[in-house]
Amino acid sequence: MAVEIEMRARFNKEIHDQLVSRLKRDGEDLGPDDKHIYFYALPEQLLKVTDNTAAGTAKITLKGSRIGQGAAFAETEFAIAPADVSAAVRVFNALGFETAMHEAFNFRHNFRFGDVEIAVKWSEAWGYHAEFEVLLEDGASGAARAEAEARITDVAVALGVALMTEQELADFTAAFEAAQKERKEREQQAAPIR
Amino acid sequence: MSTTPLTASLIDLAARGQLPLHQHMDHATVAWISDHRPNLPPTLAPVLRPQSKELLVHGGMPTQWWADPRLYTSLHGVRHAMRTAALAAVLAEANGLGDADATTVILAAAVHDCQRRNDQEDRGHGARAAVWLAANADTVWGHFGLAAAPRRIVQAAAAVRLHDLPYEEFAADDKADHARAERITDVVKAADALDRYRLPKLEWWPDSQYVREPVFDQLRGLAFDLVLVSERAYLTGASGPSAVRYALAEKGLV
Repeated sequence: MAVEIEMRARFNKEIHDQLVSRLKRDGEDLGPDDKHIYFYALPEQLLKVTDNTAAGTAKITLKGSRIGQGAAFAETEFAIAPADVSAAVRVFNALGFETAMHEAFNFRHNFRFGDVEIAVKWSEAWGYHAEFEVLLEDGASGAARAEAEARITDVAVALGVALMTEQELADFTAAFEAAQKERKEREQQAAPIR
Repeated sequence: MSTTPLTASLIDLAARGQLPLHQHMDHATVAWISDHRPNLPPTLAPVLRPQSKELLVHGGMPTQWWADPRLYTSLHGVRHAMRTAALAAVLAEANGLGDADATTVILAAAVHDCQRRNDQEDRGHGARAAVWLAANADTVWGHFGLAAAPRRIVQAAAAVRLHDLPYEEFAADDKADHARAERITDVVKAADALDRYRLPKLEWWPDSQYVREPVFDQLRGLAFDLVLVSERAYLTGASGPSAVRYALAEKGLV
């Protein structure tokens, strides 16, 4: 199982535009990578069905911890056919995970800068944000993980972007899930259309 | 009913006078819109009041509000509704409307086409939407986290009823309704007209002679960009509401 060291930042449109300009000038442009993602926020894990609409591929991913529970994510991932995305979602929903499911389209452009992969994104829940990622070998040591976190932090500083703390990530995802729950309850309570 | 294959682009169908009852955006038409961008001065991103931003961010209307669910994703569906609501919010700022009036124009714009039966002229769809809005006012205002006030329902319904009637065709009843909700109606009609850059013929694009809005021409660039960004986003796979919210973010409106 590979280990992904992943850190995030949220910012406004002005910072977004500055970041993209800098990455286009000084980084490696890996191209657009828009995705339609079905998230299942489970108590201790994150399950995702991802339709990579820009790349024409799809995958299922299980992350061993949730956002806000540390930067290291043990990750199991396998490819599926894009045509099978809806079937995969139906299977997970039928298994009882439907109430934990959130759906989002991510406008995403990938870059590499200082040996860190940076996905600059916009989604409804997160607004403009970026994901900084270093992928480590299975069983990477604690030192290797710490080195990867330090590398990401240095890159973020060089790019002028403030990374979110684990507490900020946990608070943000908790607020998002609470808002989603409230929205679903409000929709269920809405008077029928006449 | 048209039997034209749906694989043809809207620009081709419009050129042949064969647009179908339900008209869905396609890549060729978006490319054509992009290629025909008028020489418009850039619009400075207007600053919306916090309440307007909140209404726009949470303004993705449910499919069941549409009389025909096939229209939810069509040219008069949720993307047009959300862009019109956003343009109404911008016009509310430009015209110095108070908070209650700004909210009323945004809600009226959001539902003005929801009772259409097709994407063609469909005369009377404004009147049907006004009746629908009056019957479902609590649901509509509640969806936006607001309580419906009788005066606001009457004003919004008047604007919705009159949005598809040319000013010069107003009968006595229409003029009386317009007098009761003049600024609301004028803003909704202008916002609806500004979103005509999505239509697949140049002669159908926004024309200030059909509206009563002094800043209409100044907002053309913003209106054009909202169409182009959101329609492209929709065709890349985003949902209608997500595509429009992305365009609103890109233009600095939310």
